[in-house]
Amino acid sequence: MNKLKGIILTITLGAQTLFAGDSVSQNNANGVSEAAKEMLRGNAKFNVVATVLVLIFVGIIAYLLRLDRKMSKLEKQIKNK
Amino acid sequence: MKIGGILLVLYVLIGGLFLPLKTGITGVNTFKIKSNTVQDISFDVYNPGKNFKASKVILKKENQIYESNDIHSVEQGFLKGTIEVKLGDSTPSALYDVFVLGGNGKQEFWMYFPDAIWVDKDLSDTLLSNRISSKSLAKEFAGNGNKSGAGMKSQDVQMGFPNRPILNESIRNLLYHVPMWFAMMFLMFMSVIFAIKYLSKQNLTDDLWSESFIKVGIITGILGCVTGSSWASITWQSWWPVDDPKLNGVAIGMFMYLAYLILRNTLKDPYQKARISSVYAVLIFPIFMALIAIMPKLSEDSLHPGSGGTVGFNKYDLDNTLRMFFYPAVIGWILIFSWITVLRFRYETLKNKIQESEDNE
Repeated sequence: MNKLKGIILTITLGAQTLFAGDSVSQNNANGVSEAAKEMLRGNAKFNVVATVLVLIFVGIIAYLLRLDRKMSKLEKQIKNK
Repeated sequence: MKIGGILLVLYVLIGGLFLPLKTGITGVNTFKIKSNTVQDISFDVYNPGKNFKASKVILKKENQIYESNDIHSVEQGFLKGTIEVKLGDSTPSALYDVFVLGGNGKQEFWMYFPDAIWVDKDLSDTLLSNRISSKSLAKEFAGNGNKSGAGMKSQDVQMGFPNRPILNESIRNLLYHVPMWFAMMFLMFMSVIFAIKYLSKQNLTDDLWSESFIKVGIITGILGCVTGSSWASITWQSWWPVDDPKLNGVAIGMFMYLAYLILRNTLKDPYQKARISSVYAVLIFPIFMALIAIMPKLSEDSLHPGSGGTVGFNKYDLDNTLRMFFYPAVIGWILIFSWITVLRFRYETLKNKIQESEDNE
């Protein structure tokens, strides 16, 4: 369980930095902070949709893999009898 | 069940990813203009299409409305024009919303961007960034954004998802993030049904069903949290806005269900385990629903649509295009997670059988 959460957390952070880029707020000549400017511009925000989809599928597949591993353990138990 | 779920989710994936967004204003390149002089204005237009033409730009603040003098055509996604705003002596400088009347040759439609341009009487060095807090802007748009534009009826019949300020492309997440929570509620509801069934019939398989539903429900909850968090980081500029009652409710609810798992692990006798955890499952479901559905509705300040002061998606934006995909998405994801629950249940049953036979030896 902990391992699973660790994986999910790593992927979220990784995907976010990959897709979103950094939005360091720096004051430019107009006195408008970069973050506010970026927000006003409103970039297409498709990346967050991609991130969300990747997260969902990674989550489901990680869960199924975990179930698969547990099943294999049961099979071994049966064989050893 | 699995085939139905897979087909529905595939339909939602393909449609949800490939259907274009409607034409909309995604950005403002002029942040402030001066009153009583003719000023250039420029906007980013998203998905303008081939025949896009803008005929009017309006700056609006409550009852004050200013119309543009002249609109140049759109070049490379930029809309350019000039405007002269005359603030009277009594009208203070303020942030104005922008409405653009666009057309694609067939119909005309209004596009909207909230708090777009600061109109000032004298352009001294006013810091725009001080006046805009991203969160208040997000709320403004979610709550009152459409109200202030209510006088201007949009008559768009374009095919595509609505292009809302701040959300833009990320509105597609409605088809992936929101169904996670619907699936969680469904799974938890099923767990209650099986828990009640166990309590009335004392059949251990019912308890196993209840357990499997809760375990998969926790997975959907985690997925919902993680996807919601990454969505929020873009639109609300925060990973976990702590003053949103829905998020806090969900956090408490998740801990209650994690406590269920711990409770199960501490009890050894199968009948005692089944009885106590069934009672616990029945007890926490109403509390969980109250925390995630009722409390945010009562509270004043939730960022989530449909709670507190903010307007739900369905009122303005769950238009026919989104609806065409939203309901299949909910059903499809519920089917997929129900199938995973069945897998989990089969595993638990096998494990129990093996353990029983070992105990008998």
